[in-house]
Amino acid sequence: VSAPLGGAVDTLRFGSGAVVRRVEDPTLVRGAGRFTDDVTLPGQTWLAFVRSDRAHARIAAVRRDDALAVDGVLALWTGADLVAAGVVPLAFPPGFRRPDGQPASAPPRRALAHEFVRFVGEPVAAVVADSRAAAKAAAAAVRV
Amino acid sequence: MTPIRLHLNDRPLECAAEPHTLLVELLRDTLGLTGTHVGCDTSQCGACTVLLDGAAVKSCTLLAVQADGRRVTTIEGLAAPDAPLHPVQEAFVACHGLQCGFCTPGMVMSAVALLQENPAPTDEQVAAALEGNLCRCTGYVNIVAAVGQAARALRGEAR
Repeated sequence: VSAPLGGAVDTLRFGSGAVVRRVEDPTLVRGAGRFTDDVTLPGQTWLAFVRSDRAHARIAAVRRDDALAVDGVLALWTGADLVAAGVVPLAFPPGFRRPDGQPASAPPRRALAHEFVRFVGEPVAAVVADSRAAAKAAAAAVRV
Repeated sequence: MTPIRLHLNDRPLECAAEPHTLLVELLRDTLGLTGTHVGCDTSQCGACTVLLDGAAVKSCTLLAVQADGRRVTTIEGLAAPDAPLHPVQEAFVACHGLQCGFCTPGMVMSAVALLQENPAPTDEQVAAALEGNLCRCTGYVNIVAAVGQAARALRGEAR
């Protein structure tokens, strides 16, 4: 279907310098590729995060009533929920040492912020719903 | 739900969407046209670029209802699945203007809009026209080359 790049010189090349066309490109340039976001499975649910809008702050309370009232919400977790459920912080890469041989400091890194947020954008709560719109609406309704 | 009438990829279409539905959500979720991608959700990456009445727009930044009564062209509308590639698509393949292909539909749509307006852009003009489209793979050099080659092909010049 598609003409090879260049003129006779290119088409006569063999081995080094020969034009090699990628087999996947015609599909991709048509927008017919299949990326993860293009797949919707039966029973699929959507996740939305509530993220920190503060660089450093204490989490005094998380109000979830309005979020849970959104139609289609299936679950809502905060950092405190995960701690209560026994979810441990992400493992710190072992073996790092300071120049004097002491082990490097290994602050707990949690999937969801617990008690404090430490950067803008840190996930504070996670909402699962049966549609993207419901997950987003519920995340917006969580009050931290 | 609000009824919406589109002229989508050269065909009249009647559909409906919630007032908060984005154009890209209508295209991808309701109409199943997944060639238009969501890369960032914040209007920065341009992977969702489509043509609205011929102009390149970011479909994650338009409400579906804003497209009511207008002409929308997506990447699927450039060339039918069994038809030869559009010259811009062909040039992206020929010049290796893509790697993973995620940004490519948006790049192609922006390039099509540019070449309709300016059939003979300089490399600088191509770069300026594509500043709203981000690519994390190619480094852009081959994308600019592809748009230049597409321009020559569309003008009927030899490669």
